[in-house]
Amino acid sequence: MKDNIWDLPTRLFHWSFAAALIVAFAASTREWFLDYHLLAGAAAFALVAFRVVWGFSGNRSARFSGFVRGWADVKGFLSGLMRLNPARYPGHNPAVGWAVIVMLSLTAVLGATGIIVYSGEEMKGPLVGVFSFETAETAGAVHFIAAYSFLALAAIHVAAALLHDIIWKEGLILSMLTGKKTVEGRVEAVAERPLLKKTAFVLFAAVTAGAILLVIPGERQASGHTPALVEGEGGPRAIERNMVYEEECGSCHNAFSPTLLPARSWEKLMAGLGEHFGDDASLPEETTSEISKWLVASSAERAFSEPSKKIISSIGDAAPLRITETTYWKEKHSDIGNEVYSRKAVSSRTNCAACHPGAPSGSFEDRDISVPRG
Amino acid sequence: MKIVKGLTALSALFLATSVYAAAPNASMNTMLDGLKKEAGAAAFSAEEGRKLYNARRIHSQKKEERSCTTCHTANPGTPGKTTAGKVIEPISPVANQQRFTDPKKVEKWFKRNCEWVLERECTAKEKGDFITYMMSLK
Repeated sequence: MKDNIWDLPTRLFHWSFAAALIVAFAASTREWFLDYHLLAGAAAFALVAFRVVWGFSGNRSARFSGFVRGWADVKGFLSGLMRLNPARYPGHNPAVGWAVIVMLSLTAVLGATGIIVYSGEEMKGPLVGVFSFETAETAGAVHFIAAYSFLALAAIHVAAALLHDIIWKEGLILSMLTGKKTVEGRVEAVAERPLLKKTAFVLFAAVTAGAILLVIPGERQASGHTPALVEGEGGPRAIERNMVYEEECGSCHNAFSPTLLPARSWEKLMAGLGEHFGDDASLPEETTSEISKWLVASSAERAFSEPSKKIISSIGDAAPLRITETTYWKEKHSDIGNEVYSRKAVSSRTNCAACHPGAPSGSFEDRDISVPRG
Repeated sequence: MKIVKGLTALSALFLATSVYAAAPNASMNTMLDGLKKEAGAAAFSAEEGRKLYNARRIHSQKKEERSCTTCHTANPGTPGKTTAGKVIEPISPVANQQRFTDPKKVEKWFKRNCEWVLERECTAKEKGDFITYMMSLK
């Protein structure tokens, strides 16, 4: 007989969860899709919270107590599968039952490590300064492993569903849309838990809101860019512009962001203005010292910015005077041909703002990159 | 009486606008007066200034030809470009009203750029001629 196996929230969960993870995975392939990756990731994370509570309040086949079985059952099911005659279960079989648990856990890990990477490596969101760059790099490695483990498991899951439908004609995939499936025997009723059911939806809304708040960058400037954060006395502070620097240095070349070189580079550069890349760029002593002080206070070591950290670790003990000479800069721009730099709107590889519109405020966000065509 | 009042008001307005129009150059006139004293010259020559602006010279160390026009282009009314690739607003006060209004800035750029082109500071006469040429542009 046809019986209602999957309740509507479980079905909605299943397909939205799949969609969220597909979007998150697809958006992870390009840096400028970061926003979509974050939103899809936040949705998947919130869906996990929902599903966990729903696992205690949904119908019989939605509940953990209904499908999480011991090793003996799993072994029995798997050996049946080997003989191409697996036991039939109305809801999740013992193997997919555990797959559900692992997929939910992996997604929880992905959400947690994702937020650590976002605040510690991308240096964005309200948690900037909470996690160190090193912690974030470790979290990034875990995020990567968890993502590919999930992908592998999802591939097995899809293959298994197809197998069940094609070989044994169980109608699994259709049942996840209609909720109905032909089952042998009776589906036991379970005690209703209306309050817990409501909790699942409330929790879903709350976690969605919370997760989105965590991945939305803080202060945005009129230009729409979030200024780089640098160490301040009372924690991270937005970088402030220095008009003397912009006037004196920015008259001859672009006023480069101080966050892109370490303090030792700025000190060396400011001490050698008499012979500045072949020109005499000397300034009155007090002007030199004011600019120098400002540059050092916002130098790469003190900046909560991904390029700053990566430039620092790419140069070892060196004190480069050109940002374009740092290993990280070169690697990051290795696929950009000279033709791009000679375009009219770019004109020079020192014109950071041509492609990074937030450059004047030290913002080099992936999502903002836009290379002029002409 | 009405006519006299009207005329007074009109002339006051005229005076006010002419003073207003002259205001941006007041600081340059003072600067030029100072340069005249320093140079011991009765007047400056826009023509000499034009020649200075276009003069080409080979730098003794860099062995390259340098001129004001290297960065500012032969036409003072068009934007130029520094050797580092940054766009420079036109130097002509006709195209860029900010130019030649602040003696401190003018002195600063004379100091830096005379050194760059001529490998020495400019004389008071050269500065006076240069400013006079720029102010004479239409």
